[in-house]
Amino acid sequence: MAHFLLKGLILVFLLMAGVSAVAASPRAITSTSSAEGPIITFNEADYVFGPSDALPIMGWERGAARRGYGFEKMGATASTKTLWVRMDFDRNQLGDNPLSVYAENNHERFAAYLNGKQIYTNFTPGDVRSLRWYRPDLIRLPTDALIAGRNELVIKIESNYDLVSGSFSVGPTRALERHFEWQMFWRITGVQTANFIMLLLSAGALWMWFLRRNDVELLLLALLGVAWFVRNFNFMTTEAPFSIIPFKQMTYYVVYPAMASTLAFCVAFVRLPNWQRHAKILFGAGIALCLARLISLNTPLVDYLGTDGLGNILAVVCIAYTAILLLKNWLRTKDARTAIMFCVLVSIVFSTAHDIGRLWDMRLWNGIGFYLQPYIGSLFCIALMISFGSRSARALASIETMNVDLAAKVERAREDLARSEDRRRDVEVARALSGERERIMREVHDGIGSNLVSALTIAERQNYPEATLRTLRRALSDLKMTVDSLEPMYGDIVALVGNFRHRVEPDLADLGIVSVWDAHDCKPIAWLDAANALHILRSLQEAMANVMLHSGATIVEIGCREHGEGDGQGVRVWLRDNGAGIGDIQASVGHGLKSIHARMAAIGGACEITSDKGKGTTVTLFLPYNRPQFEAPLSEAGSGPKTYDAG
Amino acid sequence: MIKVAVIEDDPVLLRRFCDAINASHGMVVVNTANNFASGIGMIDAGGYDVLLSDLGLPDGDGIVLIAKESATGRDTDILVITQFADQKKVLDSIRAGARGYLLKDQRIDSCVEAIAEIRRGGSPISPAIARQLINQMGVGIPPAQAPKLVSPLSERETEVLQILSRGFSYQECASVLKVSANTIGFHVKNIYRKLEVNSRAEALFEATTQGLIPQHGSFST
Repeated sequence: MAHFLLKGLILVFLLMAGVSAVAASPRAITSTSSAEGPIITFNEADYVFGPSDALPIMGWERGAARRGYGFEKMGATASTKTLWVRMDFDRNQLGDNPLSVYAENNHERFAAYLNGKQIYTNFTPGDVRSLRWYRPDLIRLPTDALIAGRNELVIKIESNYDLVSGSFSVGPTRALERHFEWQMFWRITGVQTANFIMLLLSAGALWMWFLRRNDVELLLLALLGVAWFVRNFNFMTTEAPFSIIPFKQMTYYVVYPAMASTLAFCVAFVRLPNWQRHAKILFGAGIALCLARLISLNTPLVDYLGTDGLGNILAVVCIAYTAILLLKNWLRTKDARTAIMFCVLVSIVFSTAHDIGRLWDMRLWNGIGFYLQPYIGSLFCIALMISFGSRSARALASIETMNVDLAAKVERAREDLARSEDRRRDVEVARALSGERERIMREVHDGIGSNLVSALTIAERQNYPEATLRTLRRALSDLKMTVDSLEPMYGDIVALVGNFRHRVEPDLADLGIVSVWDAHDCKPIAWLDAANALHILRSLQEAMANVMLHSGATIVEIGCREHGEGDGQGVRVWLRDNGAGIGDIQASVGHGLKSIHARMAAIGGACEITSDKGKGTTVTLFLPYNRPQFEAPLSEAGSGPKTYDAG
Repeated sequence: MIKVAVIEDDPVLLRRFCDAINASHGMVVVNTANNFASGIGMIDAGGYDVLLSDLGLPDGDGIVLIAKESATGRDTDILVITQFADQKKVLDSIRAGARGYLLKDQRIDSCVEAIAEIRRGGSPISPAIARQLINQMGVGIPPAQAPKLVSPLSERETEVLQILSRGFSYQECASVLKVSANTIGFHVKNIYRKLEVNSRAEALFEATTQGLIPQHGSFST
């Protein structure tokens, strides 16, 4: 993909060069009109290399305007090189207004002579660090030095690096002043403003990166800002800060790291998937481009593409590579930041192509008259500012919403807390009441029980009738069941039935009845509170009374086991004896067995009594785990252990 | 001869206990008290092997008397006299130092068997109490959430407790574990002892954390 793009670009540039070569079968001058009169621009000139101290007299050579000599191609020496350029114009063709010469793109410094007399210089003789190439010059022609008819304009151009003659126009001062000011603004003032602001933002980004080390894009932004500033410094200044050759070299080479950090910033900024990998590739490309420039200087490619042509084209490839990544990402995510970055990159592709076309050794076009590259770094700062602005606006908005939300949440939490505090108080009161009620019940039972035992003892000793003793014993036994039902059982039916068996065991033993325990694990029964437990215990007590008093059994099996499935699942509790049996159940069901049915119906359970005469009786209670029809009224009415254990 | 002391406020019942004990072979009532105050004096005097104590005394709580007896460090077996052996009262008594309970019912005469049993080294238990003990001794709770017990139950004790809590009698439990019923009683007595030790440690821990007892010394809580 990149290879194809590169080939395409080279082809396009070569084609354009060919077209421009054909188009420039020039007339010596181009004349344009202005409100104040015509302006002429020189397309041809006479050239001669020579000593810088005196106007050359001979050796002039005719050639196209804008001639350049690359530093590297000239043998790369630091000595001052001088090029003399001679042009002439007819005063009479230019109207009566005061005349000026407008000059630009002369590398590096120059002096002007009109009709053999020096009228202008933009450098101090001997100042080899002077940097004037990007700064336009306006030379007002003194009226007394002008002569009617043909005037000779000679320009002396000096350089200690690339030696390039730029463009020269002659015309009415007012018209050229306007052009000069326009050019001055976009070439110098605008670039200075944009770049110093960029440097400031870079410092800010660096500071923010120190605070937020995870935001690598901030570091990359600082890096690109500094790199572009270094790169653009040669556009803004009038004097190199140090020796001209290293300064110029630095200026040329720094563009690649600047580009690499810029593109890496792009991928980091939009958080492209695998952005670290892409960033590394781009930094690698930056280094490779520096090397490519270094190597290509000594190859014929330079003749076609100029000293920076190859590097510039490859830079365009890198930018295109990043732009494609961003475009793919945008198509996937429709992320606004990606869109901004993509637009910035596309505009960079166009502006870089524009700038490459107007390089002094390419001269494919003049474009808009100044380079766009000094604005590229600033473009990123603007993009970042837009993105940052919208992000902080969103963040502020969300903070505001969050504050409102939090306030509402705090208010809700406060209300919830107040409600739960109320509930807690209610529960505490209920628990205290329940505990107290239970304590009172126990004390009452203990007291009654104690008295019953005393009464029973006295009755026994004084030989009271058996009926009295039986009544007292039954009262005591009832009381025991009631107390047992109050015990906290956590719905454990096995423990409840086991405890029952434990209670009756001594009585069974007295009667010579063996009890067999057949318990299996059962899940807890959620509704097994004190009231329900008492119904179950009394049912078992009734059934056991039948076994002990009427059956004549020698063995009684007490058991419990899970039974049924799904919603119908529950626990079966049974008492099976080997006694005489009841025979005809319907006829002989006693009061006790009837009450078992009633109790089971009352708690949502079921009871089944089977008996074979001579083979014993089985009383089975079924207690379902779920009894939807019962829940509401009974759980409200429930009291005792269940409530007691709630805390 | 097993020397027995009885604390019971109901004169009829006190007499019944004394008659039953004195009528048996190898046991004799050496002292009685019918209220809290006289119970204190009796404990101070000592001179018995088994102490039967009622809980609801007119002038104080029998639990305090049990704890007092336990604190003397004598080799006394304490049985709490309870109307119905309800969990809370039995467990509170065991925490205070009791090793068994007597039911205050028409079977008072069988207290002699209980006394003989406890002297042999066995304690009674009901399924409900076994179940409650499982909860309180951290059985079945994952180790991470279990309270740090000074004396955790042994594997065998846990097994015994689990079988008993499911309603099996000592004899049944013994045949499941292929041991004698006496061994089961012995395990239960040991479990009671551990409950008491842990309750004391808890009380000590709370007292220490609340600054009631200085933290130096040889306690290893």
